[in-house]
Amino acid sequence: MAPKKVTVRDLLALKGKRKIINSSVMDASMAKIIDTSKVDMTGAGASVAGMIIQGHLSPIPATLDQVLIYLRPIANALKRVLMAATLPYGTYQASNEDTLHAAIEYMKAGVDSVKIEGTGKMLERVHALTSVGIPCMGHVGMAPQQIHVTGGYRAVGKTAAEALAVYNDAMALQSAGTWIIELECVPWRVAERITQDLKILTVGTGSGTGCDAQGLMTQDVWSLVEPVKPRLAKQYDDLHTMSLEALGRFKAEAAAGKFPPDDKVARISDDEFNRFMDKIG
Amino acid sequence: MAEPGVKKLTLRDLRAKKANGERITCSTAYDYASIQLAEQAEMDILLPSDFGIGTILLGYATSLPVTMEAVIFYVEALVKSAKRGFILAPMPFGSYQVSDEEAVRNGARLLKIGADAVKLEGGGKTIDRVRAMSEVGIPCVGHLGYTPQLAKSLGEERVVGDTAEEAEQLLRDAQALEQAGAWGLLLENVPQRVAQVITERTGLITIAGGGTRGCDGNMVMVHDLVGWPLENKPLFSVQYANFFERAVAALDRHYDEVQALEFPTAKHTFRIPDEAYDQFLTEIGKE
Repeated sequence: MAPKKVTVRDLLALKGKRKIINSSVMDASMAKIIDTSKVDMTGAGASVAGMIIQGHLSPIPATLDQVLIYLRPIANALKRVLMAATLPYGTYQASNEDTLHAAIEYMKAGVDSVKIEGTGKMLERVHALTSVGIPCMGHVGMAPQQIHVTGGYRAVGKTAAEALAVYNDAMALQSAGTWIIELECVPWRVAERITQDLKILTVGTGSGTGCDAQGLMTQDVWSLVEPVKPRLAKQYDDLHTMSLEALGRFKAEAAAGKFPPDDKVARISDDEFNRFMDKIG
Repeated sequence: MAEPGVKKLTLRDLRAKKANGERITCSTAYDYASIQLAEQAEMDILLPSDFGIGTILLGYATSLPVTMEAVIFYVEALVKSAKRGFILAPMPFGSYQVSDEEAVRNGARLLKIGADAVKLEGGGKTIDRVRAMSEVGIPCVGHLGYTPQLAKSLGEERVVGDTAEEAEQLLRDAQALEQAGAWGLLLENVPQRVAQVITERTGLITIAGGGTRGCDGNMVMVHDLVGWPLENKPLFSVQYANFFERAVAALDRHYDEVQALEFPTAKHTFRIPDEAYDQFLTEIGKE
C-alpha cells in the first residue's frame, strides 16, 4: 500500500502533540532513505545545491537552474515525506513577480512548500505567494543567505533588542501567511516563547527543544562529512568511516587483482575463448 | 582546486602507474561528501558517472535522461572540492551522438569547467567522435561492454564478450578507439580473459567496471559498494556495507531523542542572559 503523503495540514495538527522532524535531502537515493525513516519533512533547496553538493561556504551561489536539476527527481522519490525547499538567492529579492515565477517552477517540480528567508520586504513576497495558494515557510534568526549582512554565522537574539526583533519578525511572518517558520540559532528561551505565542509552527535549528519541529542536516545525523562536527548538530552514526572502510577494502582487493570477488566476475567458456584467440591470431 | 602539498594527478601520472604495474583506482563521486570520501581513500580517477547521476541521484530508470547541465553541475562540484583525483567527465546521452561538431563543443564545455578528460560509450560512430575530439586536444576515454546508454539496443544487463564473435568485436573496437586517439578504456561486464587480451593488445589504460577483472585499473560505484538503496542493482553488484539500514536507524534514533526531549541539549543551542530575557518579556508584555 502506498504511504500517505504528509501535508501542511497534517503537520499543523501536530502542534503541541509531538515534535516534527525536518531533515535535508540531496538526491533521489537519499530521498528514499528519508522516506523509509520516521522523518516528517525535508528541505532540498539552495543550501543543498550550494553547500552540500557544490561545497560552497554559503547557499548564495546556487541558481534556480541548478536546484531544478534534482528537485523533481527528489519530489518523485518522496512518497510520504513533505518537501519545503528554499528558493535560491536572487530569485525572490527583486520583486513579487520574480518570486512567483521561481516559486511556480518549484511547485511544478513537485515541491510541497517553498521557503524564503528574511522579513521587511520579504513579508510582501510571502503574501504574494500565499495569496495565490503557494504554501510558504519563513526563516528568522541567523539567515544563511544574508551572512554578508549579519557578519557570518552567529546566534541572533542574545540581547533584548535582537530577541524582540526576532519575535516581531516571526509574528509578522505569521500575519503574512507563512505556515511554518525556521528559527535558526535563536536562544532557546526566546525560541520557546515565540513558539508558544504563534499559532503556526516553528522549526528550531540550534534553537532548543521548545520549537515544534527540529531541523538537522541529514549529513550531520550520519556524520557523512569528516571531520566536520558542527557544535549544534549531533552525529548518530559514522557512515563516513563505514564508507571509507568499504572503499579501502575495494582498493586493497583491486591491488591484489581480487576485485570484484570471484563470484562477481563475468566469464567466457574455454571453447569460446579458444575460438576468440584463433580468430585474432 | 589545487592545494599546496597535494599533487593533482595528470594523465602522465596515470600512464606512469600503468608502466610500473601499479593498480589504478576509480570511484564515482558527485557531491561534497562523496568527493571527500573518494579523495580520502586516494582514488586516482573521480567519475561523476552519468549512469549514477541518472539512476541513483535523479532516480530515472536509465542514464538516457541525463543532460549536459546535470553533468556540469556535478563536475563543477568535483572541480571545486577535489584536490588530487583525476576528473573524468562522462558525455551524457545526446551530447555526442549527432555529429563530430556537437561532440567537440560539449567536450570542450566539460574541459572548460575543469574536467581532465571525457568518457564516451560504444564503438561505431563513437570512434569518429573520439578522433574529432582527440584531434583538438580533448583527452578521451572509451567505454565498451555493457554500456548503459545503449541499454535500449543491448537489452537487459548481461555479460558482453562471452562469445568469440562478441569478444572479437570488443577487441576491434578497442583497437579502433586507440587509433582514433583515446588514451583509456572502461570495460563493463566483460569476461576477465577477454579484458586481459584487450589490455595486452592495446596501449590503452584499461579500467575494469562492473563484473570485470584483468585491466590496469578498477572502477567502483560507491553507492553500490556501501549499500545505498538502488532501484537498478547492477548485475555484478558488490556491497561491502549496509548504508541504507544504518542511515534509516540513525534518523530514527534522532527522531526518538527529539520526542524524548533528549536532543537538542544546552550545548546544541544558545543562551540569552536573564536580564536581557526579562527585558524582552517586558517589551512583549509577557512578564
